[in-house]
Order: sequence, then structure tokens, then C-alpha cells
Amino acid sequence: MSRGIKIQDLIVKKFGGFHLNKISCEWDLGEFILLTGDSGSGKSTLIHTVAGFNGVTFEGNILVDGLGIHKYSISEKAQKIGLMFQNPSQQFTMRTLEREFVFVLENCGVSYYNANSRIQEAVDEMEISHLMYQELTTLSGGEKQRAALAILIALDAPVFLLDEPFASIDPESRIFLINMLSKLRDKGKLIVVVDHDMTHYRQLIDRLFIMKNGSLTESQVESLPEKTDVPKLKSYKEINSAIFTLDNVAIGQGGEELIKKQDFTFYNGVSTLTGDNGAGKSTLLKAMVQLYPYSGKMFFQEKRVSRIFGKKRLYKLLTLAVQSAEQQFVTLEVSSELNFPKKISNEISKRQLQALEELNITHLLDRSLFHLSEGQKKMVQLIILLSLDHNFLMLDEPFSGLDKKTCDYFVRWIEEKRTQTDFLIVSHRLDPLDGISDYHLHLSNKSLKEV
Amino acid sequence: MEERTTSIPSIFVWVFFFTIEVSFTHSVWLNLYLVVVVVFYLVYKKMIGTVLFLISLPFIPAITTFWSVYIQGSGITDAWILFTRTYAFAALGIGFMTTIDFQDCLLVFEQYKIPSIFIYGLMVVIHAVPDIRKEIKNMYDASLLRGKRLYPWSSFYYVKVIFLALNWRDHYTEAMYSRGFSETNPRVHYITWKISRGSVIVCAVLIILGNILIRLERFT
Repeated sequence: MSRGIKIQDLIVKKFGGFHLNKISCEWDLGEFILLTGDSGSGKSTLIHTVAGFNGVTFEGNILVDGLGIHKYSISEKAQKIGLMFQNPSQQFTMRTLEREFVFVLENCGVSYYNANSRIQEAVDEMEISHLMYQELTTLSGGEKQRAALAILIALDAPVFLLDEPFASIDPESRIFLINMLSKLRDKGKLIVVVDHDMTHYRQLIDRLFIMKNGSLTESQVESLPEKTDVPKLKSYKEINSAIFTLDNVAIGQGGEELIKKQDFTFYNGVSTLTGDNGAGKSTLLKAMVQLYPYSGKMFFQEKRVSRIFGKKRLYKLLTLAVQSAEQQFVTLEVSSELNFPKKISNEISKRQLQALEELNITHLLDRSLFHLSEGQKKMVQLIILLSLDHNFLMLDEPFSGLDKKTCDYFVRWIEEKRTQTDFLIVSHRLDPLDGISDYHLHLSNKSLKEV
Repeated sequence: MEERTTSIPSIFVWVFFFTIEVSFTHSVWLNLYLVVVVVFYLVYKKMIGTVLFLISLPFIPAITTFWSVYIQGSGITDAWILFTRTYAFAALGIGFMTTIDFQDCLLVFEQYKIPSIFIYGLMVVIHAVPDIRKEIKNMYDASLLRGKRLYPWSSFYYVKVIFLALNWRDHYTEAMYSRGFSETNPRVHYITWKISRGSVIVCAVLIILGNILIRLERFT
């Protein structure tokens, strides 16, 4: 009998159709499994259903350690299955990591003596002792993921299920966490990770599963890319004209300097901006669209822009796609969001419908935005912003949570639009931008430089 | 087991006691005494901004009550009592707010047999408040980025916040379950809170002093 997870004929219905269609598989302890597939294909649903903390009704059997999942009490289940959400901030109950550790271990009835040694072990392993007493909301994305994983380690569950844990963290943190997961596998744990980005996995994982339209198939690990080439993010064009200029601009955050006083010019074309987590990329974009305070002057198309006056006019010319797609939405439904703030012209509407069709998501039109998967939210966000005519479009992590095919679709769209629109793209995933990007900018040590 | 001392129960009793006493006594001295105690504490803690807040916040309600009772009501004595009482209530509230850490307060109450679902449910809600504020700011920005300025009376805000709350409720429930928390499961406790003896003495002395003042006022 399998000591890990055994799924038999699992069916989950959603919106009147099959969301998961007769899934059967067996995952054993000591295996590192990568689960991938198109956006909205049901990966998250599978992970959350198997964990069984959200109360979704399903048909079929899910056995954990040989026993049906519903037979466990909640605290027993939490000690069998460690679940990590896509968005770690939604999973913390307490204000600091130290309190969160105590909360979790108290819930599970671990004795005080054991708890102390478990916490110490988890903290040492994840190298996060400096984060113990900080407010969790102030941690960066990568730090939150480390903290969340440390909690799972302290819980000492034999099974770890991670739902796209690396969607928006920098490559170094990602590699650190993937290596950490493979170490946990070596200690005999079952690790299941959902991820779209398949780099760095090939040497470490044992099995690869692909989800498509609610069905699961196993695939060869060897089919994963060996090592990606360094993407080419620079082209040498002759004519450059400045579109956006920073003049003596400095940006601070919480009393500390985030970006040093500097001059910088963004040229026309497609620019890619990289940098570590917490370096201030998103904040810089927010400041450039005049939604974050800064000192100094900014010029767009040689006209001074201001945080106080003329913003509505400015946003007809330039706009920003924010990192978390959900935060871009004002209304509740996809169709009304496409038509916000006023009915769009036929031409744009046609382009949007075409995109929805080509991405196979027309059925989402009358659905609530809250019912979309993270990837689908991202698609709707990008469709809205790319279909409008702007002179300058800033995209903050446009590819997070998107599968390869969808990424390529949007990259082609960007390519199409580049004659009329200039782009500034912040992304941790660089492979989609290979050959598209004209400039590579890097933000580190509080200053912006062209690479 | 780890033992920690706390002054939360003493402060709680102190504030509770005086809230009731101030409501049922007619003593200007007692009211002023409470304001002075809280101001002394704030100055000692170097929270000058909060002192200014305490002076300015109740001013309008206090002066209007004073005025209406003086002109329409039973005369200057009652007017002064109500004027100072408004300040005394504000002082008690601000004193409570600044001395007590809400998370600790809930944890101490958990030890006094308040249901844990209530304690941790409240904790989650309180920790979500900054997120909700951020969400509202984000929505304002998002709408502006698409060329429409939202105003506080815009229905978009209210509809979305309601849906967000429903959505978050599910997330938080799942999150707490995944942390092994459930309504029915007994929990163990690593920390036992002990009431600090110093805080009991200080609060008792302050209560006795206040009541001596009421008696003294009668003789003058």
C-alpha cells in the first residue's frame, strides 16, 4: 500500500462541467513531482482538493497514507499534508513568524519541548532567523515563501503540496527553494510542485505530470529543457528617441532610500527591467505612472508629468499593468471589466474577442473575476491593456502564472504593437522576451543601469 | 512551558472600573485626575503626538455639551462635569489603546476560556485590515490608470469590497485549516500568562487615589 497519495477516479465539477475528469495516480513518499499544464487546466484545483482544506465536494477516492482523506481530523490532516498557497500572505494568521510557528504547533498539539527544537531546526534550515520577529506583511515575496516553507518543515508533514510557489520571486530565491525541496525529498518526503516555469527542475525531479483540460498524464522527465540559453535582451538599433526621462529622481520607502538620486532616460522600443526581489522595480514603475511619491522631475515625451495634475490625461497615453492582476480589476465580471470605464469601440472589442478566442477562453466572458484562476486573471488583464492604444505601456510581471503557449501569444501581440507602442517590462521570466527586447536595464544597489 | 507576565488584565480592570465610576459620579476632580494620569503616562512614554491628539479630539464634543448644558440645562456645575467627563472618556480610551497590544490581549483572554475560534477569527480580521486598506487604494489607482477617477461614494468600491470579503473568508478558512486549526480541536498552550504583581499594585493605588479625590471634593 502506498504511504503517499493515491488518487482514484477523482472528479470535481465546477460551473456545470468537469473541472477534474477521472484522475487516477499514485505518488509515493520520497518522490519529487512537478505538475504543469495550461493556465486554468485544473492544477490548483487538484492540489487544493487533495489537501482537502477547502471543503470542495468530489467524487472518487483520495487516500493519504492508505486512509481516505475525510477520515482525518483537521489537525491530523495538517500533520499529514503541508499545503503552501500561491499567495503566501493569505496563509498567515499571526503577525510575526515566531507567533505563527507557535500557533501552528499549538493547533497540532505538539509538546512545548518538541516545538522548540522543531522551530529551531526549521529556522536554521531555511536561514531565516533574522525574520522571526519582523511583521510578516513587511517581508518581500521571496522571504514570505521561505517563511511559509519553514512553517511546513516545522509541521513535519510527510507530504508537501505547493501551488505555484515561485510565481513572482527572483531567480536566486527560486533556485534556493527548489534545492531545499529536493533536500526534503531526500529525507523521504513526497513533494508535489505546480509550476509553469520548467527551468532548473530537470536534474532534481523524479516524475513529471501534465494537466490538460482536467485530465492528468505522466510525461518523461527528459522532455524538460536541459538548460535554457541566456536570453538575448539587447538589440542594437540605430535611431533612438527618448520617451521617458528621470531628472534627479530619488525614491524612498518607509524612511529608507530605495533608489538613489539619478538621471535616466528610457528610449523607444521594448525595454526589459530586471533586479532582485525588493530592489524597487515595482515601486519605480508606480512612481513613473505618478502613483508613488518621489523627489525630482519626470518627463514623458519631453513634457513634465506631475503627481497632482493631469493624471487622467496622462493615462490616455501611458499606463501600467500591475503585478497582481486582481488589483487591476474594478468591476466584478470579465465582460464588464473589458468595457470599463465606458463602452469600447467596435474595433477594440473585435480585437479583444479575437484574443479571447485564440486563447480559448471565450467561455469566461460572463464569469465572475473572482472565479478565475490566477493565470486566467493575468490573461484578461493583458488582453484589456494590450487592446487599448497607448504610446507607452509598462508591464509588471506580465508572464507570471502563464503557460508557454499563452506567453508566446502575448509576446507576439507585443511584437505586433511595437510600431505604435513602447514597452517597459519587469519580469523574472526572461525566456519569452528573448529576441524581442531592445534594451536590458538592471536595478541594483539602488541605481538603474543599462546592461 | 513558558511563563510570561502581563499587565493587560490589570489595565483592563482599571479602565473598566473607571468607565463605570465616571458614568455614575458627578466629580470634576475625578475626571481631571484620569486625564492627568493618562497624560503623565503618555509624556513618560514620549508620545507627545498622542497627547495633542487627546487634547484636540474631544474638544468639539466637549465644548458643545458644555455650551448646551450651560445655556439650556442645569447650570455651570453640571456643564463643567460633562465637559471634563468627555475628556475623561477619551483619556481612558486612548490609555487603553496605547498600553495594550491587541494580539497579546486576545491571547491573554484565550487563557480565560474565551472560545479560540473567536480569538483567532478576530486576529485574522485585524491583521486583514491593512490589506483591505491597501486593496481600496489599489482599486482607486487601477481605475485611474484606466482613465476614471473613483470617489468615496462610488458604488464600485462597496460592491467589490463585499465580494473581496467573501472571497477572503474562504481563503482564510482554508488557510487556518491548513495550519491545523479547527473549531472543535483542543489546542495546547506554550505560554501561560501571569498577571504582573507591579501592575496590580499600581492599578489598585490609582483606583484608591481616585476615590479619595471624590471624597475630598465633597468637603471643599
